[in-house]
Amino acid sequence: MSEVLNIEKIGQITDNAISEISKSVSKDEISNLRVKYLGRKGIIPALLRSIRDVDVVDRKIFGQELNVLKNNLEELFEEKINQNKEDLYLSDKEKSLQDISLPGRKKNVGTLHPTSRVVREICDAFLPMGFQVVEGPEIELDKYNFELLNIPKDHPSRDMFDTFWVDWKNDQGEYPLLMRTHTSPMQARVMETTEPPVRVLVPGKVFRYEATDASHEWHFFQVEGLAVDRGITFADLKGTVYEFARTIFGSDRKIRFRCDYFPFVEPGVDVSIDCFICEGNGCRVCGKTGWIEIMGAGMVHPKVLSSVGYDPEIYSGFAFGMGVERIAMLKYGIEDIRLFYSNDLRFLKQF
Amino acid sequence: MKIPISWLKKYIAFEQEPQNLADHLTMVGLEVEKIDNVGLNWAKDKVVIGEISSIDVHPNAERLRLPTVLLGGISVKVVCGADNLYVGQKIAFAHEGAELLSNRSKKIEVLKSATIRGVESSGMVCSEFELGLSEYSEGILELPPDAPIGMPLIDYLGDNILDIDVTPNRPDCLSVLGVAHEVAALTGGVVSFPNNNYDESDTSIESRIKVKIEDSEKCSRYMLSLIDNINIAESPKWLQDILIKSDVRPINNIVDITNFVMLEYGQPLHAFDFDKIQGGQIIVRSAKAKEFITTLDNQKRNLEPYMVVICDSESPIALGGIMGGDKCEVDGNTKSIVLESANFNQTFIRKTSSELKLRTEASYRFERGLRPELTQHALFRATSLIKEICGGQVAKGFVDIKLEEFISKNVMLSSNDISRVLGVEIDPLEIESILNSLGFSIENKFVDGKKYRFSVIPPYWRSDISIPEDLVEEVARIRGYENIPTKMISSSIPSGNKYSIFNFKESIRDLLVSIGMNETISYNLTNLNDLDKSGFLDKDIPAFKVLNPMSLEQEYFRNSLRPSIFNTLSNNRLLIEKEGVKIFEIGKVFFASNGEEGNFMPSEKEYLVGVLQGKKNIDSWNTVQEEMDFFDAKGIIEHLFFKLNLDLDFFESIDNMFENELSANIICQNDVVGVLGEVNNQIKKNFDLDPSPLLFFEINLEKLNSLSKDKFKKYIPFNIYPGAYRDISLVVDKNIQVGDINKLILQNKLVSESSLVDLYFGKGIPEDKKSVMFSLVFESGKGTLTSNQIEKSLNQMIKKIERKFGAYLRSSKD
Ligand SMILES: [Zn+2]
Repeated sequence: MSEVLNIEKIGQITDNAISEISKSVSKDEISNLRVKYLGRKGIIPALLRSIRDVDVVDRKIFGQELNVLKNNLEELFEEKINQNKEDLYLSDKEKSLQDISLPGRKKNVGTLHPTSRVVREICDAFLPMGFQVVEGPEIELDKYNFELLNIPKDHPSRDMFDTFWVDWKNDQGEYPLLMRTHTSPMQARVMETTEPPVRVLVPGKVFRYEATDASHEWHFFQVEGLAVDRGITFADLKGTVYEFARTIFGSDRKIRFRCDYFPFVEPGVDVSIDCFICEGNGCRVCGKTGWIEIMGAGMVHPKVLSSVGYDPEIYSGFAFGMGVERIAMLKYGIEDIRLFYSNDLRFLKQF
Repeated sequence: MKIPISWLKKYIAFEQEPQNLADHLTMVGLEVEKIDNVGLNWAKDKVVIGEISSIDVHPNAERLRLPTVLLGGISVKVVCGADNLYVGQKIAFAHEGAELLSNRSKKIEVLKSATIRGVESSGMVCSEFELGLSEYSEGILELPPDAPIGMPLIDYLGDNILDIDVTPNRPDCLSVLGVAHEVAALTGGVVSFPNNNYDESDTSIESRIKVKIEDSEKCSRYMLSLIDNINIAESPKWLQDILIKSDVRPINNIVDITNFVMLEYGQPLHAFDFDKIQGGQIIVRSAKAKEFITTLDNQKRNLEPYMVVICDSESPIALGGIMGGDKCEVDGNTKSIVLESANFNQTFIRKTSSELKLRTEASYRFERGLRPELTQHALFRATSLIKEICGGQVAKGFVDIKLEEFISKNVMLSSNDISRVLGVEIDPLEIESILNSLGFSIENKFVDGKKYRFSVIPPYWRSDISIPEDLVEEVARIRGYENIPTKMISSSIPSGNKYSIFNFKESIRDLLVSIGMNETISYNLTNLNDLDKSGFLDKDIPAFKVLNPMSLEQEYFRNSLRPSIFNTLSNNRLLIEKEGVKIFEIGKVFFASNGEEGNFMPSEKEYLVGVLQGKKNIDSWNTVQEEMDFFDAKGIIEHLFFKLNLDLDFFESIDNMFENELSANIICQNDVVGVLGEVNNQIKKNFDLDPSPLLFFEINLEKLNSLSKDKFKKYIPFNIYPGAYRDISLVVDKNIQVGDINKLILQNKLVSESSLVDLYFGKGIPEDKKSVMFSLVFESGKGTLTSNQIEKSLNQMIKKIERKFGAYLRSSKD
């Protein structure tokens, strides 16, 4: 006759089983325990079989107790297996790598050139205000780069734009082609071919015959803006530029307009923001003035409007232009402009 | 333009500190780049004016002397090595503790008392160098006899010099009076003009010299005065001081006065030695062919007919508006001079000075456009100063040759102009007061409440005011742009250009970056060597270059992005082994196209290039990356075209930059839009590149953009009936292209997908064959396919492949 079943015994088995399961680590151990308790020849089935030896009166209670125990153990095994699943399937080699301090696997991550990135940020700041992006030729005619912009031949304002000329003569023996010195020629090109209203942005490469140093490159990018319609005023220019500066440099930026001269605008101004590095107290970046120049701007000169066939009595507009690298240098703390086009991946991959 | 504040204060009184004034001038358009502080280190109690009361001999050193210096109440005896000392001389004295530039270290040092050859010396008599007034000096600084004893030197000689960056439109501010007018507008002060009066003698100038302008287009006004019996000498100290502070070298009193008045009024002047002028006449005319002049800088200058010369009866004596000639130069023996004050045409002056590469203070001002009215003011001022400083008699009257009377042009300004340009209304009284403060006069006015209309006459020194907008700017800049409201454009938004190439390029940038490529940007200019190295030097078509290159490295326009990207790769070759390089560039290339007259003309197009070389990714501590190959590059192109919704095909390419087998033309809508391939070893050698496989692709973006009209991808509904998967494994000749087999498979209407899953050569396959395995998906929109339908279709397909490519099923024979 088998051992007499009693409640104490069930309790003892329960305690043992729980303790053994909780101590088990490997897949083999768990599966052995499972066989030991729940297998066909295991402890629980054996007990269930022994119920018939118990008094009829107690059978029902024992039966219920054992079934509860059985279910509880099933659950425990299930839980244990789930909990240790990954461990259980790991090879020994892999287990040795369970060290979270090992470095993550690096990826070669693609990067936009910082200039492209900032061109995009600038454009994105103006697009919600109804501007559209157009581009123009990098080899330009004197006519568009200078003459239509109120910069006649033999005028001293040409000194502001040291020019690379293209070695190409026309039939009159002149050299009319140059590497554009600014993105402003697109003002004339756009207005010549479009009826107002006009609201465009012109990003692109420009060229100046200038010795290079940490803050000068002969080859750099500008973004030009132009808005022409009936009733556009300097107040609109202020609002547009203000909105831009807040988007790019932070919502608490202050902005300053001071009188400046560009032949194709009147009045002409340059635009500064309060230095976001020293909060206007004066530092190296702002030259101790607390202000950082970010663009030139102004109301389109009536001569420019009439030269492209717009009636300055009816239409007015504003234009602005900024150097892209300068803004990138301010934003990212880059101190040498020559880094941009030397194409060192150690620089480019930082953006 | 250098403006000493002490000088500026002679014309306008103001209280502002120099920095404060500089900030205000900067805001109204005269950008003060820096303020030179003269006497920054002269402490009031340490550096003072003294007088030498006696000089003793040093007992132990012949070359040293012991001056006693009176300093107002006290006197000090010091040791001094200078030999220009004399009793009664006014000097600058530094007490112990003063900060002076050391002759030895060339740095600021604190003066200590010292015993020199046995004599104690507490303090010293200073030289210009020690005071920081000049780079080099001999002897001590001598002060004028009326310098007050005991006064701190800073109060006597200290100054702040504004360095103003004057924009090309404001030649009036290339003068101290011009700047004074700006200060007047800012402070509400009144400009006091210098004295222009002098006594004349009885002999009239007209009997002594005749003037004729032959080319009035180039010279609109020519004025002369004549002064006899002058005494050529050094200029007085005050005059030299002002010139030195303004960066002009003193020469002699006559030349210095002409320079001084130019700095004062902005009008260049020139003095000729009257006795050297032949024939008693001056002719202003265009230069003749083959004519030349030797200018004051001793250069012989060949003249062109567009240049204007001042001549006597024989030959040119000056290059008008630019520089005098040596023929009539004022020298130490000069007794009589004629003083020229003229107006030369800005365009011809600029052309001449550019051509001769001769830029002078005079040409710099004339080329900016001066008002002819200015000549008389400057002439009278200079004549008066010459009489005062150089003595002599001024001949009666003056010469004034001009084509016509100069009448100031009125410029109209209305309330409408103000609100139209600035977007704000400004009170007429305010407008009037701003314009008056700048020297403008209002000839006529109509005011009706807020509406007004002024007829404004600009002052004679302003040449930049011709339209209402110019006046609007005057009002706005003096009033301050911060007083204009901030608004947003309220008019309608123009309609768009959604297919601009800019957006197309932006998409391509994003796609290439998203698959791990780095963008680079390089210069448009390159050199013949680089073009040659990438095989892009066509003997028949000229490569374009710039007329004025900065260096031979950057002389030619690139006609391909290839040299650019290979050079970039070469610069980064150290990274190739470590982590691989995947870079691209989008940019313009320049080439010859047919111009209107059939000649070549530079033209430009937008291209994309990319290169891949080295590891697929970065190695980690337990994985090693493979090297990239042709199919990595091809995968990028496939990804790009799929995302851009462009159809894509590849044909074999004959581009000789590539290894023969692994190169392809990239085809879109039956048009070649680019190339793709593995770069040959010669190119790698040419650019000093790593020898590992180098993959390259190049796409003509303008062509590709023109082909991509429909940028919206059409959604394809899922098939609701499940598909069935079948693999087929074929053996074909090695030279059969897998892509061709794949195309044939996809012709089957029930096959929705076909992908190559295995490619095998070697054991078990005949030597000239390869084994290819495709995984296919069969499906139909009409219902679930039965295995019969699939088998039937599959068999048909296999037969076709067998027939067309001589293939056989791998399982059936091997
Ligand atoms: Zn700062």
